[in-house]
Amino acid sequence: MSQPGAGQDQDDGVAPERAAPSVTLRLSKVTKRFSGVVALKNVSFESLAGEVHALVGENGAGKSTLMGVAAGDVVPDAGAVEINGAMVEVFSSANSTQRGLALVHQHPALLPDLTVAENLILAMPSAVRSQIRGRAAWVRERLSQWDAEFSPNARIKSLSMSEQHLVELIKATSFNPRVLVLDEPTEHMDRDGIELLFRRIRATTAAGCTVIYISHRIHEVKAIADRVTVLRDGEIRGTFNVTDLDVQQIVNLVVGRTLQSAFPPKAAMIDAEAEPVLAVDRLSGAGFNAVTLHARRGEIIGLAGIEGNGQREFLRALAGLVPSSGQVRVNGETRNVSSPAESRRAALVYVPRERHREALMLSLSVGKNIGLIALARNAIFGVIDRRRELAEINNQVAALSIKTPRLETQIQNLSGGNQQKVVIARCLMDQPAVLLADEPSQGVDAGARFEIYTILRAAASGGRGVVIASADAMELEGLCDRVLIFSRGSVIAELSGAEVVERNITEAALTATALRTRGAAARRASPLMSFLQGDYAPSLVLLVAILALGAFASFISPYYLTSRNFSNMLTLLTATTFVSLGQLVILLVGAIDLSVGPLTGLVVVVASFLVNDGVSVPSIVGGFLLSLLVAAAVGCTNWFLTRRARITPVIATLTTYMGLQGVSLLLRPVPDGLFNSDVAAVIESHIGFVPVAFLACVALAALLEYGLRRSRWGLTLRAVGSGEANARRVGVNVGLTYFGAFLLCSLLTYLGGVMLMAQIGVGDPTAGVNYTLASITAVVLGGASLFGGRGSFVGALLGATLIQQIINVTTFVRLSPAWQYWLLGILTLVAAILYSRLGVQRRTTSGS
Amino acid sequence: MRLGRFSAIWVATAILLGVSPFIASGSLSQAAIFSMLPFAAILALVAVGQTLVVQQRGLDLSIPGAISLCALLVTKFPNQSDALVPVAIALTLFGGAVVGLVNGLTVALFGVAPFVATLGVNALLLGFVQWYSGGSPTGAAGALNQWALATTAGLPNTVVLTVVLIAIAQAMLLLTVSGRRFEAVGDNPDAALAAGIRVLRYQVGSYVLAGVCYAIAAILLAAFLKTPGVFIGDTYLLPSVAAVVLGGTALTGGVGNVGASAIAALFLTQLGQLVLSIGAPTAVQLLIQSGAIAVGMGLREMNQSFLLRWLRPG
Repeated sequence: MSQPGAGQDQDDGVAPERAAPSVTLRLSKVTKRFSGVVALKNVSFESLAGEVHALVGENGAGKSTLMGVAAGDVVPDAGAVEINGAMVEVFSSANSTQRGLALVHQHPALLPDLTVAENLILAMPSAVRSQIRGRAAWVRERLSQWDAEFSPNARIKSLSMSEQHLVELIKATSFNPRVLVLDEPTEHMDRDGIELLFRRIRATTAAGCTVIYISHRIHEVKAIADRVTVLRDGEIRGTFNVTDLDVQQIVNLVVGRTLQSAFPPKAAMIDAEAEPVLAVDRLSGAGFNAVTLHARRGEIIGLAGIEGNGQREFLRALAGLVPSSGQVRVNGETRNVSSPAESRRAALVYVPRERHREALMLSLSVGKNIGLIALARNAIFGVIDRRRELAEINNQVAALSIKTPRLETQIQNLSGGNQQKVVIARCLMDQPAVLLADEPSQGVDAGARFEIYTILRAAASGGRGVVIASADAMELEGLCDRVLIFSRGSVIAELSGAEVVERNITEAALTATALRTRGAAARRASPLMSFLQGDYAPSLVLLVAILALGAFASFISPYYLTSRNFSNMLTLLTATTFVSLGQLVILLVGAIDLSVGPLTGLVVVVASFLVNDGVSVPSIVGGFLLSLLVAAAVGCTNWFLTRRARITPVIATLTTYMGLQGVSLLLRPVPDGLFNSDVAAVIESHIGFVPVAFLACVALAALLEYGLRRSRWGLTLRAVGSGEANARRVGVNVGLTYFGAFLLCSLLTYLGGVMLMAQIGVGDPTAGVNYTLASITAVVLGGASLFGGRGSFVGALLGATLIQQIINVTTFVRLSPAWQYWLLGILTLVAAILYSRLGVQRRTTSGS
Repeated sequence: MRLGRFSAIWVATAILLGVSPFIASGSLSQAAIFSMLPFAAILALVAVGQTLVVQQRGLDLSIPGAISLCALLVTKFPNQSDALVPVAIALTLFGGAVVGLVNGLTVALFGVAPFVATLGVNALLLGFVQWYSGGSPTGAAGALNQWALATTAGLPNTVVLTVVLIAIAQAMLLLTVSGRRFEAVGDNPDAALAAGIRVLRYQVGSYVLAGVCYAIAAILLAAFLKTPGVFIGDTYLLPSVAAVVLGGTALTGGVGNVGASAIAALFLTQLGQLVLSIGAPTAVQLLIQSGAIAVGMGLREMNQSFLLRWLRPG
């Protein structure tokens, strides 16, 4: 933990104009570096009560980092933060929230599997939560203040991006913060939305709060802000009254007059008559529309525009990563860009924007990373000619002056600039016709940046086409021969030759009044789809299947519909259900417990030493207590292995699985130790033909279900499973939630063990093993998501019932025992595949 | 001196073999080694399959079903007839590949979490085992058994075959275009896709190859044991995971080494034999295996945090 530094000396020169409005947020001499790159340099900033204070600057100027420091998300290397007159000692979002600062993130901190109402309630600090009477009414009131058109019960992942941003906004304003920070709030809004937002902002400041408004859009800043602070390259360039400046002056301040870092000379003359190396005609896809582009050899073309206007999607479509329609010709030949492999065959190679996510093989060596794309060029019958490959790799290392100790060095040990050069080298080694690069100089220091520009220019003058997308207008000016400006997915302007200057590019992007239309947001899932994606659809399907199977069996055999059969079935069912309920608790937090089966067995084995016929009552009680302790210890072990030793849950619990089985076999190499028959009789007592234990089990499932939907516990459980990082951001104690889940799972499994004990009546070391698969199948059938966050205890109960029903019915129909395996396996696979199909939506909306 | 990621297990195995005679005299005699090596070889093949899957960020829990079914196919189909052995072997290899294909498609195409997909497939396979065997095992054909007991150049045939196969696999992974792409896809599928690699092919392929590895292991197992138990595969799941972990292959995918996994299989087998030879009950094997995973993973984790501190001073 770094300390907030010694920045106690407040107020370095900039005195407030009047004494009356109090300072709500004060940052003093804040400095922050990210892996060596300075993001904030000695920044001091303050905002006053009742003002809208805009924070403007280019991409990467440090706006979001600065507000991240204020909100406690980012720990500064030096400097101090003061919120409402109190110094911030510990940087955490919970702490900042408590002091009255709310940050509306550019990427909403929402939990996709929870509903709108649940997200709002979860994020409220306990002080606010305790004042809420009548949750539903409170949420409805919040939503109506913002004219929200979606239901409070809509799941976040079913909302459009703009609706999610609105939820984030409502969330932040709901706990009446004194300082409200909005980070690019209008990025996904239409005109009506912006007007409403501005009305709400004015109401907020009228009540004496501060709104800090981070935006690219200067027109909006002019419209709403009282004062504006300009950030450039991590430094404050001044704070001004908005009325003193016009749009042009603000743009000038944002762009600045810093000395331009050198750029390599541009292409002298491009032969406009020559056949384009890349000719794209009316290419359309998600996010861009009918884009036409002709790139010639030796030319660098820039794609510009405000974030989210289709320029990146267009580039990705050429790389084969986004489906598209239209014509693409490379060197005059029509080519297919339907997949990245096809694009590569068409000699279009792509330098991704997110280096770590989409470009580097982080655990592989520098050499392997460079050689990746061009592998087949240096191979004979699929076997790599190492010497030739090495020579080519060394050529690239020399040509691009990649600084690495050795080729065998792991790529993650290189600096950002050298990593980026490796990615470009990898592409150039494949001798592409066209190099497509998304933000080629992002996250790279100034020196390496110039080298990368030189490399790109050299690639162009070497006869390749080069197309880059960049949010940095200065870079586009210095590097590109032509720039296309995107707005709402179309090219709205093309600058070439002497027109390619930063001011033109920035102005075209900043002053484009392009507004999104609401049309796209109107899409709603059909009632059937939303039911199928709901929590209780699987339960209904299971219920129908159980009844249908029952009807079938009673038709086949007169013995099915007897109280004796039902009594038997329900007794057997109880053990499976208890274990399944435990498994579900673990699944809800996004983990898995394979050890439940052997634990059931171990509970039986341990008890078989003490709970025997003719022993004293203390011995019996001791037997139950001891096995309970064993179960709790196993829960703690699983928690320790997964959370402390950080072993993935599958492996960790597989380890305990085998360990427990080993212990059981050591204790009881062969089944032995008869159970006390009186105790067994109590456990298996009936009311009519219904076992009491079964009733208890159903009641427990109902209670857990209620808790899952209605209690804070259930909310945090699902929140952690739905997204650990976001759950932490809204103040959930993730560690404690995990610990509780593992413990509860073990205790429920213990109950399963007690039932099993009564059923088999003897300490059998292998009796429990099958409960692992059965419990997973039951919860998956019941609609639980394997990725966490969703599930239903009632569903788990019904899932377990279906499994028991199948086993019961197969015996009545006299099917071979193989069918029990087959039906279980098929059910598991079908349920998992169906769920993963229905759940596809989640990945596409939350993947950023 | 610091040990490389994959060389640690070689050193550990050498030390284990070195101290064996002091713990149980005779545990390094030719007879003891020759009775241990075939089991090590079989586990090594299974571990190689598991390694390939783990390299693609997967996990194969269908090993019990796959091995049991393959062992059953190669014994029950020829039903003691030597003439049918070649067909049975071909059929078994094909069966292993089909099992892998089903696993791979369920995981890579339908997006089901690997452990659930393979757990489900495992249940299906056990169903087939139950159905085809009728609950009782069949003996392997005489020719198969004789081959397994025979030696080549003084080494058991099973061992020779295993060493050759693993050497080929290792060479393929290190020296070919496909091997390098395989590693890259495992390390970062998104980046591999953006680099124009047909990711799905490698992801599904890993399960198919693993299935073939299990089939070969099952054939050797049936040949060596003569009459393998119906659910013989049950005992191979955890040791395969333990071998992968001890061998040094990252559970997060990418970098892996089938040779190191094979050596780890030898380590585990020798350790097991040693424990049995000093009179411990069979169940202790389970504890050793799970302990090996926990310790192996723990060391790896410690090593990583140590590395991070070492790389970023201050």
